[in-house]
Amino acid sequence: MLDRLAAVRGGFLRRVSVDADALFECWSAKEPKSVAVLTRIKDISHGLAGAAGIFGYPHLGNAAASVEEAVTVRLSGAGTRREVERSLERLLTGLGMSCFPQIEHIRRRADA
Amino acid sequence: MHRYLADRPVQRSRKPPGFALAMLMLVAALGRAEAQRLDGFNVIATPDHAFGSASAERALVAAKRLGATTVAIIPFLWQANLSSPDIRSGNDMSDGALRKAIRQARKLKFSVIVKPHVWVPESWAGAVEPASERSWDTWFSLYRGELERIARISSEEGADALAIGTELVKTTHRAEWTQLIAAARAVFPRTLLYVAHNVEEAEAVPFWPLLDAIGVSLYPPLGADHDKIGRLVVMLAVTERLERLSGRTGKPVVVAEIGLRSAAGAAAKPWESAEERTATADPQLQAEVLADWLAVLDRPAIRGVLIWRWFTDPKAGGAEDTDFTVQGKPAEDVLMCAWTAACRRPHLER
Repeated sequence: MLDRLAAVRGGFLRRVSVDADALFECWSAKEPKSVAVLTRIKDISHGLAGAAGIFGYPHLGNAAASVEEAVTVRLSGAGTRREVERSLERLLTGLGMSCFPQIEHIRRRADA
Repeated sequence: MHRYLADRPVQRSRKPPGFALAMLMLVAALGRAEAQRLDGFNVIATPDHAFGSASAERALVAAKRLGATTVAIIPFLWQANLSSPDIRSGNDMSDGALRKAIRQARKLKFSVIVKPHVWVPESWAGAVEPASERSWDTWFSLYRGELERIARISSEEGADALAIGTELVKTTHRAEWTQLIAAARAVFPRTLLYVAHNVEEAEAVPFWPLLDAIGVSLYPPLGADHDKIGRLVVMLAVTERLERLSGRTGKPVVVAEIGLRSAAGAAAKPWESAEERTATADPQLQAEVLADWLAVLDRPAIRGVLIWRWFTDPKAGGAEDTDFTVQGKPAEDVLMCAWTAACRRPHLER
């Protein structure tokens, strides 16, 4: 049971690693507010919002849903750039706090 | 217990692991943003609701309301038994009916995949295997004729993609596919794919370089109905293998068929039809399994997911129904959530 749970969590964290990198780049871009970039942030956040709860990370799912909502509002012409950035910061912080140490652990094991 | 959110913001100078990979992913992702996803249903016409009818339109509009962007239309071919070389068009969909189906779907702004299936009484396409070299020649010659006919109609009516075959597991090692693909390509100018049966066949198909996309149907055994962790393990393993296959071939993956009956026991044998086993209705199980699949398959390499299935009868399905269709069942909400907006989903049991 614990092995299977670890396998599931490991699979999710491998995915989160890729998504987090892509989100970080969107967030770090000098001008990350083009429709294409915002749409990409929205798509990644949407997927994370749906998957995180299923994999046992509901708080991460909530943070991702907040990003999706902020970007959706921004794409509709309302909202502010800062609101998108703040929600992304919260999500990336959450990813960093909860996932990256484990992701590093998985990577080290894969490299060994 | 992990703490997922913290009060302090991320410093801009702090780069997560995999920075170089992230750059590549971002470039790929932005390019991909313009590529269309193919999410939707395999649509089956029911006797009193032919494609082109007002009722079929109501059913398709209902699918669109869930966020479906794509429909797969299925002309059936037929052969009397597994070793018979005599493959013919079925009588379920005439050429005119196929044209009407594509036109109706396109009028409603769906992307259209035409996906021929081979029907064998009391068996299935994956077991088709002509018994001699002469039979193979005849089978491929007749199959090619049927495919060219379907490809021509699909081209003329503006279908977006054509599957050159579906789950023909015991045929795909044959060299004849190379010429068959060239023949299809000569008639149909847009996306060509083949639909492999599960990831095992997908990994064995030799002709992916000749096609534009990898199609796959996914019906692996998912264990006991209540074993959510067990099925997530299977789903993750399947998805990671598909991602690796996509990476090796450079082709996107379209999950051209996935689903299960809304029936107790369906997770163990997701391919099983209502005709094969009587069972009590369990629409919640169907909804949960599809939610899990959609969450796991939400990866960049997977360019679309087509649910098996959706009927042209707008009143099909419902809470007591035990067929694969998701119509009138909780799975509709799951799909709408996945395809249109954020939603909360069941948590992993600890």
